[in-house]
Amino acid sequence: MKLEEIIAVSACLDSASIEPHKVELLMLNRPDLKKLLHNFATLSEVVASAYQDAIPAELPTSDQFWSSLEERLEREEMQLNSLLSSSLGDLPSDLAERDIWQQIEAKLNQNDPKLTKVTDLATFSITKSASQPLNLSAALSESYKMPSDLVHKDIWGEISNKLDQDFHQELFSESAPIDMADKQKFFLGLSEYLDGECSTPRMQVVNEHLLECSTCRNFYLSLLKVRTALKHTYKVSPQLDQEAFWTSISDYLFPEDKIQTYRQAEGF
Amino acid sequence: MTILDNPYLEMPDAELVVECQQGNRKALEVLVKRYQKIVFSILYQLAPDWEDIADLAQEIFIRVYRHIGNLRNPRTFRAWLNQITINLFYDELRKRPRRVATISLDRTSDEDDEQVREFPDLSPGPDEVVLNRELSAFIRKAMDELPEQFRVVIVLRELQGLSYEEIAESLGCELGTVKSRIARARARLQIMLKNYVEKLPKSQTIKTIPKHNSVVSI
Repeated sequence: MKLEEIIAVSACLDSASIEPHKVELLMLNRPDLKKLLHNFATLSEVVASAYQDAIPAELPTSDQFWSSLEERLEREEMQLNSLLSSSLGDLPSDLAERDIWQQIEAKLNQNDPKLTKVTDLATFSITKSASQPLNLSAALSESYKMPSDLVHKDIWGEISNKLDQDFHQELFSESAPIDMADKQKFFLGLSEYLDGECSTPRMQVVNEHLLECSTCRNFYLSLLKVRTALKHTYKVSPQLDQEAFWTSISDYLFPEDKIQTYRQAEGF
Repeated sequence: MTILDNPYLEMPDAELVVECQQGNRKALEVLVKRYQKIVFSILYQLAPDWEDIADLAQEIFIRVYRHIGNLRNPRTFRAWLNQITINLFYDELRKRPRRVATISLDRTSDEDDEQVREFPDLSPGPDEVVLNRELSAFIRKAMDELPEQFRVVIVLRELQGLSYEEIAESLGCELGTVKSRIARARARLQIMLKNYVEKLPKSQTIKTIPKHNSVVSI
């Protein structure tokens, strides 16, 4: 079968571009071309039906899109919740929501199909369940005007960044007082203290608290222990032959050099 | 090779980058040799069970060569290289099937021989915590179970020793994002390793608590 014949068969699918008698002429005594035409037609139907489902006749506006998502969320809330809890387990702390989103994001990166289908629902869930409204919905609907713009990776990157920023402001903002009573938040704030990234006044507040509070002190000690343990665990990397590594890169990038060296060695 | 043989050896990164951008292969060679170990170790720390890390490291430098012309500020080479490394790690993650590491508590010491060879320096020193093999294995498992974004910041901060600013530059995100991810990643590790951390000797006390003239003895 020649390329021109394949192109001609393909053109047969579009009745406007080729006359019927020419199609018959082309197919005369050519069962292989008939079969190809049949396959093309089937493929065309499959693609058309897939796109018909995917693309609404009229693209919704941003508001319509988000409100329809919300409706779906309410309708499928039970299902979503059971799906999330079966996938992620119960996370009791107030970090649970954030942890859940991290898990979802990780699973999406692994292309976990059962979670992919709830992505859009999950986007709304976070705005509903967050103890402090993050207004992600508004932010996202501004950024992504049409559903076709909704790329999972971008959405999750955006959600994750917004959560992180919010979380950081909540925990580390210099204007926010350190809430010693909220141990969970304080423990997380210790991370920045551990890295010496707090301002001097804040460092002093934390120092004083650590001297007084054995719970926080023990937690801080355990943070240090984990850090030390990590460094020990990954202390030794597999050995790398530096010269051989460069040679392999060089051979790949500059093959002409290798040929030249070979020629010189052989006395050409 | 001495500096007389290769004048690029002592050249700072930024100058080497400019040379590379002009097609200087000697400068590229010096850059590759200067950073290959770092790239290799980041990949190893992110994905210790991948067997083709050398190939991936090679791919990273090939990308460096191909795109170095696009690097506008040569001074940011290190962050740019980290960015390429992390991007390749994410690309590979998407391609590979997820394998959840498991630890058998019934392993015999013979079965662990390979790990002993891999980590020969675990013997306790005067200033070191005594880490047993079991803890190392659990730390690896915990790291493997961390969401990738958390694992990346922990590797860059704790193992590569990058500052918050350098990490933000490497990941192309806000400083606050980096801070909170590190905090959350640590909290996660803390929970996962709770039982093991408690077993570590208490002799490992804090000598100094971070900078800013704040020293606390505990």
